[in-house]
Amino acid sequence: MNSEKNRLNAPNDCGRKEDLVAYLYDEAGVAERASFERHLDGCAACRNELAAFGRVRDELSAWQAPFAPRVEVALPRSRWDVLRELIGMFPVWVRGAALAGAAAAMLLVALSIAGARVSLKNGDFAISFGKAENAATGAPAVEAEQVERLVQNAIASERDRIERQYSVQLASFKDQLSAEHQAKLQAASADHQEKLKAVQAELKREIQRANRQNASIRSFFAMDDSNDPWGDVR
Amino acid sequence: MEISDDQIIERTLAGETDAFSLLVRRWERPIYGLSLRMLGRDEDARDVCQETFLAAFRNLRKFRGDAKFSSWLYRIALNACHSRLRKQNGLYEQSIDQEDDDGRKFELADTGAENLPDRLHRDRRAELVRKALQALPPEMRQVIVMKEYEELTFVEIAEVLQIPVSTVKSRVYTGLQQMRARLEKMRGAL
Ligand SMILES: [Zn+2]
Repeated sequence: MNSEKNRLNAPNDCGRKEDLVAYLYDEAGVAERASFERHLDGCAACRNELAAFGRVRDELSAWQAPFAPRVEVALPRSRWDVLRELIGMFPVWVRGAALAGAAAAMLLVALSIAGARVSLKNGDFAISFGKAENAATGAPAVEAEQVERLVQNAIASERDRIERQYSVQLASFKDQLSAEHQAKLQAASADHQEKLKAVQAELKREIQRANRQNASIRSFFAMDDSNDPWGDVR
Repeated sequence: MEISDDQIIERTLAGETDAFSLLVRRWERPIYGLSLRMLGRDEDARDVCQETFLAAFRNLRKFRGDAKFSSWLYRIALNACHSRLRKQNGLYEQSIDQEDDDGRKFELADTGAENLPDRLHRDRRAELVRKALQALPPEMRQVIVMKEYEELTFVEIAEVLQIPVSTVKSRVYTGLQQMRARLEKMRGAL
């Protein structure tokens, strides 16, 4: 145990610093506390420091936060993010069209916030928010903030529905495209066959003409016309 | 019964973005208080507050339930404070460190005072505390702030900073010692 030889303001080197702060903030356990109190009886440095720290704490309490401002956090899931996320789920070949639609939708949302009219439709999938009828009948404008919230909520709650709806439409669009593709393939094939036939016919005519022209030579060499190697070409 | 932080997080992660604003309302005051005491300026504290909640929202999926949400949030806020302090470094910490022998330098370092609310400006006592706190090294300052103003336990502070409890205690001790020395010098008596 250190003795009273410790002077006021002398560096406290009794090795009980951690105990001192635990005691100061009343976080010492029962045994710890009792032990430190016994130490305090004989350690002027700790007594002095404890008192001084108490005054420091008192001073610290003089600085109270003047007020706590409301934190307005613009959460990153903006309408645009939601739309972009939706679009991200689409296959690449739909995105071009969807993006154009989304841009139009965003414009509508922006206008709606400015003018308190919340209603938008976007080609393939329609998103309608809350009281579109009110806006149509010229009901009083809602606060921009309310509209903002309305839009956020509507988008969040409608998201599932849109996804479901879209997946159905996506499937039907795929079918449609696939059908179109088939038809085009068939058309192309028929066209190709036609051209092929024409070429083949021309070729055959050429051969026949050549054969006729060379008939004398053929008979001279006693060639058998039926062995014409082009004979198979129709 | 009040909904827990963890429940709110679950709802937010399930797509109910609005639920997160409950967490903002619940923790904005402590986070603002922490940032204000760390940075000394209302403006900076507001910015850090915004940054903190945005970062928390963006990284909510990375939050693991093995610590309290508030500890995680405090940690994010402290990181934001430290990076801000580093940016305004040189100017700030250096000049404050030189203030000891010369009160005038102290005033020069305190260029942000006009951004504080007038009430605080007039409160000489609070102003002295603010200056003394700002002069502490950030590692020391943060434990004093969490202990004195946020009233966290040593264990909670250890959780926020991910350091041993004994380290927290010795930092609080050193912080109080330095505060004492500075305040005694500034006030002439303590
Ligand atoms: Zn002692």
